Amino acid sequence: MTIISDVFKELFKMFVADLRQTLAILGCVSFIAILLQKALVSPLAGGLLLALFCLVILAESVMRETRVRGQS
Amino acid sequence: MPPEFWTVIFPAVTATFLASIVEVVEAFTIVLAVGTTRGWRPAIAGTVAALGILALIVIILGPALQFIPINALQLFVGVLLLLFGMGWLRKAVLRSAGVLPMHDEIEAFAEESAELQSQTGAPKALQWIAGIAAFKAVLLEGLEVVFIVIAVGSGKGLLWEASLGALAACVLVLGVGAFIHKPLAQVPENTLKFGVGVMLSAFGVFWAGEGLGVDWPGADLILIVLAAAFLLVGIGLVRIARTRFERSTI
Repeated sequence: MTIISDVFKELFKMFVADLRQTLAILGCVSFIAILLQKALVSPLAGGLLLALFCLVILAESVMRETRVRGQS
Repeated sequence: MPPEFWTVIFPAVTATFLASIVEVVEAFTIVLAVGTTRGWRPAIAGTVAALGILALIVIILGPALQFIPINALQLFVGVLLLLFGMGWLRKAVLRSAGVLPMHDEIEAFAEESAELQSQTGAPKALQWIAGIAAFKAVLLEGLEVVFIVIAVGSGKGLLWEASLGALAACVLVLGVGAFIHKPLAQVPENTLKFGVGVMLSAFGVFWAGEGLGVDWPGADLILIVLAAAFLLVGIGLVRIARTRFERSTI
């Protein structure tokens, strides 16, 4: 049973390295999906926004961790 | 050579090959600790059993994904690749910047060996425990390889090519490991993790976008631009994070 629970823990860790980053990525993809579905942006702009948001999310996540580790 | 060789097939196989090296090196350290502490029989038995289960997952899950509509599959796989790839990239950036400590194979080997040596009981029970330790290490590290193979392979029907990349990494690491008989501490694990994180994040944005109906300019060629963007931002973040972390700890 320990092995099975370890497998599930490993699977969780694979996609949730940082909870805020994971939620931000999911939120970002959902937001772009809504923009594209309502035709508020062109398909190309949607793709570029997705890439840009992902880079911003990465930067925020790295700087937040740096700040937290630097203070402790 | 197919036109998408350099833009899709080569990056996909390279990503699975490099990611597998990272994971197989970590698994090999534990298997080596088991082998040198409790003998090679439980180490090999545990490893083979875990590899069998991992192969079974790829054989069952890989073809099953072909029944999912392509747009839904690309979106699903793209999001998972984004979560996984950006997780790896984040960790690699933080390690390169000195914010997180580097993974140390020698230390992992010493810890596992000490744990195995501290266990007491009948010889047969100890062999079982050692075999399970090897099984667990290969299974858990291999899960990430399986995910990458399936995710990278299923988006463009490259399951076999991606599997070959992973298999080549296994053969290479196990061959070198069997030859030098020590933990493979010289492998630049974090650099590999950084590179794979960049590639998987680029694949993630590309496929999530395709799944959402994004019309990428240059089709597959945009993957190179996306990878370059993640690489440059990653390198920039290492510099900024290192400077800020050093300032805050003075």
